[in-house]
Amino acid sequence: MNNKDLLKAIGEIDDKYLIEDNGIKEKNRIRTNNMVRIMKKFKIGYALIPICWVVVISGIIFLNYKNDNNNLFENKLYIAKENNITLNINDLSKTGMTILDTDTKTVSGFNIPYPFKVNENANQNEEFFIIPSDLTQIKNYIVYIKNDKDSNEYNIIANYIMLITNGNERNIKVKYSKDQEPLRDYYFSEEDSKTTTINGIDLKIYKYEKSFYTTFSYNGYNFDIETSNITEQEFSDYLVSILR
Amino acid sequence: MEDEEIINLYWKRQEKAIYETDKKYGKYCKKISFNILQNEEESKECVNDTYLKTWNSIPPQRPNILKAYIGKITRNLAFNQYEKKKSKKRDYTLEICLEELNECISSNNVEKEFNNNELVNALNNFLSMLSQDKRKIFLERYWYLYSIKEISLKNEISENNTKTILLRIRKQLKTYLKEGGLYE
Repeated sequence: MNNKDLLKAIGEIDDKYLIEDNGIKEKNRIRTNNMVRIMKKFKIGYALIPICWVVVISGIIFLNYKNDNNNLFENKLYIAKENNITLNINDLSKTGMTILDTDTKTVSGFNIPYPFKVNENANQNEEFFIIPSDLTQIKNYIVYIKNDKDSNEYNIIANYIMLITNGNERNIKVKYSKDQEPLRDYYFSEEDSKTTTINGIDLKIYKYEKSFYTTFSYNGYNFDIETSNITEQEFSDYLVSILR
Repeated sequence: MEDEEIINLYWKRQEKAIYETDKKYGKYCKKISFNILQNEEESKECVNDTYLKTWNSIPPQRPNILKAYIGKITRNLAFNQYEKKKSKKRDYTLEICLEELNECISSNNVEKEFNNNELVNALNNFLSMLSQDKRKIFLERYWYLYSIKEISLKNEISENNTKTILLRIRKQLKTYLKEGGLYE
């Protein structure tokens, strides 16, 4: 191996390191050597030392306060251990997501197939699925696509949607289809993502801002679940309860 | 325009794909090629070759990250073009970077056979161990081939500090490659 081989190999590193660094980004403000000289001249640096300590101490107090308040989605390792199952949650905050335009028509559907296993032995009063108690509304939809891109008619069922919601910003959107993968109106890279196994079923779970995303196959259906403002605990409980 | 939309244009074989690519990443590619070739005309030609190669490769390719995909094509093309140059100036950033990277490999004259995939994997692992700031500086120097002055201005640190950071990273890389058995 020589230095050219090494330089060429550096050119083939993982893409994620290249978007992490905007090396070519134009700076609006450039620190000049003159500014550095001026700061040295007036010894502003010395004046900054106590200010820095105040900032650091304030930061420590602030972070401790936030932790005590148990907010969602802050400074947590993305592994949750509930029901003795470890969720490997892949963080999309660095890679991001791309929103896609999908050509579909969504209508309310009352009579859609039920994709989960039915526990016929369960007590009628027993809760089967573990859903957050404030998500009291369930709305069903059918997503149609066109048979031919030039046609105006949306006549092919792409997938069904079961939307479990509190009527506001908290919801679990369960998309499912028997014959194909449910449509997505977003895209993110699944390269190098970790897998979680729940009751023998492999799935990949992603997190972006206040949402979780996961896909898996179960009971003859392909699922694509997306949540909004649901905690890791709630999501974990729900997944474990449906993947029996 | 979002990357996914641009990629869809390539797949639909619409020439607007090139226009949108140039609009979004033209400066980016130009900067990469100029850092290597140090010549305005050659770097423009390299960028045009990049668009042609991108047009010919998508489809069937469907890159996850368009910026990285195009950047890599530009870098490789510029590097190949540079190697064909008859006169290579001693003070070219690329030549200086190559001399620096000599520190990371064996000082033996014997060239050991190596596996490129293993080397790339090792580099990815090495980069994952660096802090984001140090990784940024390392890539600005050896991926983007920025000068020391440009790196120090971008990161708002002195040139001496930049050189020291790069020297330390090169030493770490040398140890890492040696322990990984990638050179003797």
